[in-house]
Amino acid sequence: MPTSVHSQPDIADVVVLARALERDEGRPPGELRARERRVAHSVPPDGAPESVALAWLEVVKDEDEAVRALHQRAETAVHLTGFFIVLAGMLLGWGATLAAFYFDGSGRVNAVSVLALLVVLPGLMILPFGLAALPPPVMRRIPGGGVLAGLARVFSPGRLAPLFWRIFPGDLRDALALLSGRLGKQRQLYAALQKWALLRWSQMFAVAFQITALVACVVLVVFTDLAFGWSTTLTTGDPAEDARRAHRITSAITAPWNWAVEDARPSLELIEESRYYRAASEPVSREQAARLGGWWRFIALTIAVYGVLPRVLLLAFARSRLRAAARAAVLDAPGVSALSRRIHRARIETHAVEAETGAERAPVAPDAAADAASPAIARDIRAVINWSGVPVGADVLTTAFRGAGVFAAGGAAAVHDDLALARQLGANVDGAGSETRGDVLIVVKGWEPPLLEFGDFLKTLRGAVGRGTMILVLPLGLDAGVALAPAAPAQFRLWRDKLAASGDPWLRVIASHAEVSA
Amino acid sequence: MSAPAFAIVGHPNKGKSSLVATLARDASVRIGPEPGTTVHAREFPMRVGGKVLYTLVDTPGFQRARAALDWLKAHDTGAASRPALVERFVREHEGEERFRNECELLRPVVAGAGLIYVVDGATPYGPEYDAEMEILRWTGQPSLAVINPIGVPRFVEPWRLALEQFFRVVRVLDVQQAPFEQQLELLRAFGQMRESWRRPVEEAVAALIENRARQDDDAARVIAEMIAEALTHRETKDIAKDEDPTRHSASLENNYNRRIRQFEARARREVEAIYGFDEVDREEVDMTLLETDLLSRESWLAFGLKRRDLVVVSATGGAIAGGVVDSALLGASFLVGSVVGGVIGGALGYFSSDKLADLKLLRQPMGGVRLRFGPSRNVQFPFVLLRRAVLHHAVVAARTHAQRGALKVESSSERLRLMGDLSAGRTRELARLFERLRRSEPGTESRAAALSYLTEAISQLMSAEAGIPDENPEGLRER
Repeated sequence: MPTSVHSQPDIADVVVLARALERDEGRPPGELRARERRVAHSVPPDGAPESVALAWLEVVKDEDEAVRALHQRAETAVHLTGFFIVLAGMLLGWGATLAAFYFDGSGRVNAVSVLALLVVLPGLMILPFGLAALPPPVMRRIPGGGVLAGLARVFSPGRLAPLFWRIFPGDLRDALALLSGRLGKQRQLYAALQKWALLRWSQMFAVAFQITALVACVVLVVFTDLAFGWSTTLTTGDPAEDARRAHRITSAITAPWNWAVEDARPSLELIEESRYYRAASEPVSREQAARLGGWWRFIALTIAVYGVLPRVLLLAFARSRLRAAARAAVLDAPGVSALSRRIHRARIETHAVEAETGAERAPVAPDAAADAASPAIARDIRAVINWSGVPVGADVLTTAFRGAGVFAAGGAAAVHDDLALARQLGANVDGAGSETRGDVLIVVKGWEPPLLEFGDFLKTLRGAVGRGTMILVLPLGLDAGVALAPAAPAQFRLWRDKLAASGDPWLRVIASHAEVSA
Repeated sequence: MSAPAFAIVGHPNKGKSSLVATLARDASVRIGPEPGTTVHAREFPMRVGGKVLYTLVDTPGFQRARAALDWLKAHDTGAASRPALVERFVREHEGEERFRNECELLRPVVAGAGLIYVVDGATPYGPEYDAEMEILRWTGQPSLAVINPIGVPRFVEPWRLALEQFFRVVRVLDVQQAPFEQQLELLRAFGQMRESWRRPVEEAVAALIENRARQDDDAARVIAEMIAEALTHRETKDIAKDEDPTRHSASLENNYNRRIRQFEARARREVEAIYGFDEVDREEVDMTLLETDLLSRESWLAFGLKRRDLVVVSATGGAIAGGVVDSALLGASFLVGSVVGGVIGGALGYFSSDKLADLKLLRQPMGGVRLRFGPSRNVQFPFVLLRRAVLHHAVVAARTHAQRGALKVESSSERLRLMGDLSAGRTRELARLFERLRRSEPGTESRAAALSYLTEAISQLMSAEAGIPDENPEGLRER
């Protein structure tokens, strides 16, 4: 039984669910139903399809070693991919920071270059992310949008993931077949999942890059002596005006944190003092270097607010989109909807535990020729028995079968009375003790089936009257009281076929009293 | 406390197995006109979440009731010992061929099962039933009689008079046609036979009602999925640029029609399976397509490019190249390079797309003509699919598991029209949902949301078809 039922699928769940459903296609239905019954007991009655599918997957994982192993491999592969992506982001972030903060003591660290490399350039990469993140219907409306989105994805750091997969062991690569688009027939179904997995990895890369850059910046500030400066070719000609312009820009940049950390805004004096010209570079004095280090708060907070924060938000957004895509992929995966329905159905069982025993009887086949009344056979009927109280008067029977004695058996009569009647008829005497000869006719209710107790009576009667005496059975219809209406053809067939099984050659079921009437 | 059991007993061929099939929702129960179709007592436990709430026991009919009663009378020592005497009868005749049926049907009763005695209200009461009812009375178990008219109910009242002498509760139910609510009523009556049985039976009834609601929702979902699939389905074929498209139009149309019918047939089977009719035959007229001019053609290029894409990409490339020239001239060209580059690139893209289509890479053409049949744009198309599906659902939902033979769905245009006109608000709402589905892609949230709304709309339609008042006739609930 699953230990816990969660409702949010992850990539590994989607991958393994698709595979597990495929594996089930060849299994016997009985085995699947038994498993669905087990799952049904562990899911809430109002469980959503994805919760039900995940609960089912837990049970399958418990029971099927191959599925469990696949899930572990898929999880490992996804985690490993994330690890490598983060590692790559950290390495690049560290390298870029070292490059941006390169300081050999002879010059100054250009704050503009630092911010361009660590904030502006990575920030521009949000543009392709935004393009790739556009919903397909919007993208289709933009001419060339599909191509641009494709290009955006090509340049996304998430594309590093397939490169890392190349160094993964084969079984891990196979576990990611669904994500790598190798399952061609399901490409459309999992397109959104693939896209958002890629974009989430991109944001993981970017967050790792930015956080590492921030940490590296702080580390360099703490453990080395940095003198910041700024430089530009676009000058107004008036250094004071240039500085004021730069101050306005830095003030605008620091607007988000000015209210909290006022020290983190470079002052006009600092900006004026930290401008340098490469053509006329001058060595920095110890006191000046200490003052120029005052830029670090501004740089660190700029990286944090304009580099780290947007990427963290985008990572959260990509993560939520990936979760939604995974959920949609589970809901739309072939077979999930039907699986959920079957499991909910299995909660309530009303069917028989055991299969029906005994061979199934073939239905009574219509036999038009046999249904037709046989030609009249002039029989000498000496006794008519009304079996089980057929609602027909004795006078009707007497009129139809002249000269025959009318008796009653079955129904309200006791079994020993039936035996006595059989013995009486076997003695070939009528009720008055006179000797009689001829056949015996039994009228029965055509609408009632022939029971075994009627068979018992026939046997007893046959034993009493002996071989050669014809016993005729006439099933009557519901309106028997009116001119001995015959039973319906289906009822007649039923009686005929049932009594034929007795193997008595002198027993005959007739469709109408006309067959024996004189 | 163990769950109650209810033994369905009676004369052969009076609908005992039909009643069990209906209440247990089990179409595999053998039902036939020949006596002795049921030869062994068979249990149908009703479980909810693995817990048994009650058990129905289908039993063979009495075959030698008078002889059995004779034996009981011969050994009778007084009313108080009669239940024990019946138990002794079963014990002493167990395994004996003569009273096999009587033992099979009395065994669950002497084990404590309530008695459900079934008679046919279309045929008259007769004295042969007295012995059966007398034996059942001797068991001392709570009992209830069900008059099941297998045909014209001509003899219900005489039966009622006869049965009321032996049973405290007499119910009339056509088990072949009994609507769900009547089935529940009968189950509740079972529970009322003994105080301790009331609670589990009520619990079971509540579960069945909940299950029914879920079945309806599931069926609505299946129908919604089928419509979504049919609405977006298209058949495509890539042919060479100069190939005659008319040669392929007939096969595309046939394939399209076949697929739409497959979608319908699959949904029908699923809806039937939801209600427990896994192997029922169906008689339904195939859907006829409302339009035949769904063939369209478009150029295609390798890598999923369209001519428009190629023009945009070429123009962008040209503009970038021109921009490089502009940069080299330090802006003195006033972006003429970018503009000219963009125009030349775009024109090249436009005119070269045909040439690209003629190229072959590894013997594979880089472009050609894509013939497309579908998707249907006819506004009536989804409505016809919907009405047919809702009608089929109504027939399935009303069918009991005692019914045999094919499921007949009379989906003539007249019958569909008579299903009830949709309100203007609902028609608009549905049309909007259909349009949303047409535009959505599989695996997207937008499609999932549209499917949910459509499922809800279909549920409401199905309730209306079943005669359940619609709480929101003018449209879907706003979200």
